[in-house]
Amino acid sequence: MGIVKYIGKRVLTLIPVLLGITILAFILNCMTPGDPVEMILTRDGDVMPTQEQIDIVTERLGLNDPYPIQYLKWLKNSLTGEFGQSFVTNKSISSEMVRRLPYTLKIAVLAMGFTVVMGLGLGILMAAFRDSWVDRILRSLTTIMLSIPGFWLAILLIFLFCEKWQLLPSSGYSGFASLLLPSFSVACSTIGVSARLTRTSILDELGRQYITVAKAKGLKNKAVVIRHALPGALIPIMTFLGTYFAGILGGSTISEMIFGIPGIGSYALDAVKAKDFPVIQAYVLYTGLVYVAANLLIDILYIVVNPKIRVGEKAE
Amino acid sequence: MKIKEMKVGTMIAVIVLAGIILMSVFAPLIAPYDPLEVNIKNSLQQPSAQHWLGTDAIGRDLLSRVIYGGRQSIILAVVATALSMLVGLIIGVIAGYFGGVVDMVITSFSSIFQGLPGTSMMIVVAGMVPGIPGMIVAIVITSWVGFSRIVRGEVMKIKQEKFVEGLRGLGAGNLRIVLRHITPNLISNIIIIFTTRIARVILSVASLSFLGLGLQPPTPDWGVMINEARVHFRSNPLLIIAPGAFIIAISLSVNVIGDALRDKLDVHKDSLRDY
Repeated sequence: MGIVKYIGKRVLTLIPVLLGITILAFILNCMTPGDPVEMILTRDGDVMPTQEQIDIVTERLGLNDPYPIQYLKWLKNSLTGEFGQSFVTNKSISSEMVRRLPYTLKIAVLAMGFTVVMGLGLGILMAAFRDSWVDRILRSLTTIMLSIPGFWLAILLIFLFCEKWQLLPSSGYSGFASLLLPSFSVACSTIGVSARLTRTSILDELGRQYITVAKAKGLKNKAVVIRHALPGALIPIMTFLGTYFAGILGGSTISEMIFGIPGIGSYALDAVKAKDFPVIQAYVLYTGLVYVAANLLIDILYIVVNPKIRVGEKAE
Repeated sequence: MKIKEMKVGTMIAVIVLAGIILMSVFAPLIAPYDPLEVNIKNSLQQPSAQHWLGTDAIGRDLLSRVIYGGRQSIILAVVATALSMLVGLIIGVIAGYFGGVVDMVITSFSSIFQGLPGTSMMIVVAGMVPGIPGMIVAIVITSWVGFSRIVRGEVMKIKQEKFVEGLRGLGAGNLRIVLRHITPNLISNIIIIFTTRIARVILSVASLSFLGLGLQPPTPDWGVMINEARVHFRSNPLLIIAPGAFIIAISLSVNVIGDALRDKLDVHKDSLRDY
């Protein structure tokens, strides 16, 4: 029962966040220099639009209303999934988003998988062999991983895996294999971060009393790390998963662009370059929603793993 | 930190960082060529005695461009990090010190920002607000929150301590207590967070410039250079490798120094484990 109540409460606290996301998406549009009406009308050629044309488009976009009214109208449309048309292509934005979202989600999920599996793996290795040469090498490796810019790694990986060794497809989407490099280049730094965190969390756990007891009973070092210290160390690691996901979503934008994956990130980047406001608004909303949903999922996972939470206290 | 106590790795990191900073400051004296000088006849040269790293697509000397390449982005990263920490510090101190309704309002406001996927928002804001101010605004509004939360927690702890009570008893005003007595107590935290943050912001600045949303061509900047070289690097891989190596060198050395500082100042607080 406690779990349901806790989740209910969590969902309620998400409402202001969701409202905040919609307000941000809307404000971005108003803040931006340049008149969208003029942009639409001058996009096709170099003919100066007449005042009459400007008035018609302004009216059609509802830009004569005061901002709060514009916001409410826009919110109403957005809630029904109606984001209007792209200024550039005149295509429906929502159908484009729905078509593209799965690619971004696949990259994000795969990158999360890399982060968790490789991060935990490297972290456990470092903790099990702490202060040995294995630990030292891996610690340097993970620090290097979090210092590499993702876009640079992406270009390098394309060059090596796709052009030099021709092992993987380099551009566009043609099945699972084309997701490997984009996901890895996004995940690289978060793998480094989570491995370091895993190491310190396990070492912290090893300092606790019950571990001393386990050791006194004659258990081997590696057994202690995996059987006893790891479960306790998982909890602080889980609290950071949400943060990693934010980094991954953003990184995916750059990765999609470099690898030519038709996800919502590359869509947004094109829109940013073309000042295609409705698309950008929709992107802010979509990524905001995905991020909020992912965090909720992580939270639920967190309380399933950590029963202490059910008593009411939540470790931030 | 005394030099004798430093580990070898930390010492190398300090030397590398100092080297890059000196190189950037004295770039006009060190660089063999003008980093903006175009010479189409000389385009995409392989490394030679005249051009140690070769030339780029329009014949500019790569070595000179790499030497100049950190000048603006390093300053921008420092400014953006400092500004976001200043914003976070002010908001965090206010929330922590006054507590109550003020704290509640600030905390819920912060949680909205925390609910946003930072990097995506940074790209969008940098794309919508033009120029270098746009890039700084984008970095600041997506990174002040984490810091203000840490400051808030620390201030709340310090506030409980006896000496603050004593000061109030002596008639010290709120502003005085905050500025003269609470903020100085945060210095070691601030130093650690600053180093860990700036490593990340350097990468953000490079990414935004790479995307064309930060520094613009023909600026000799590492991020911009990597973007420009995307088409041509096959004929001279150094076009990508050299600027990339410098970005990695600076962010790696800052990260290593940050780790050393954290060990040195012996920070066990979870809040500062800002991985």
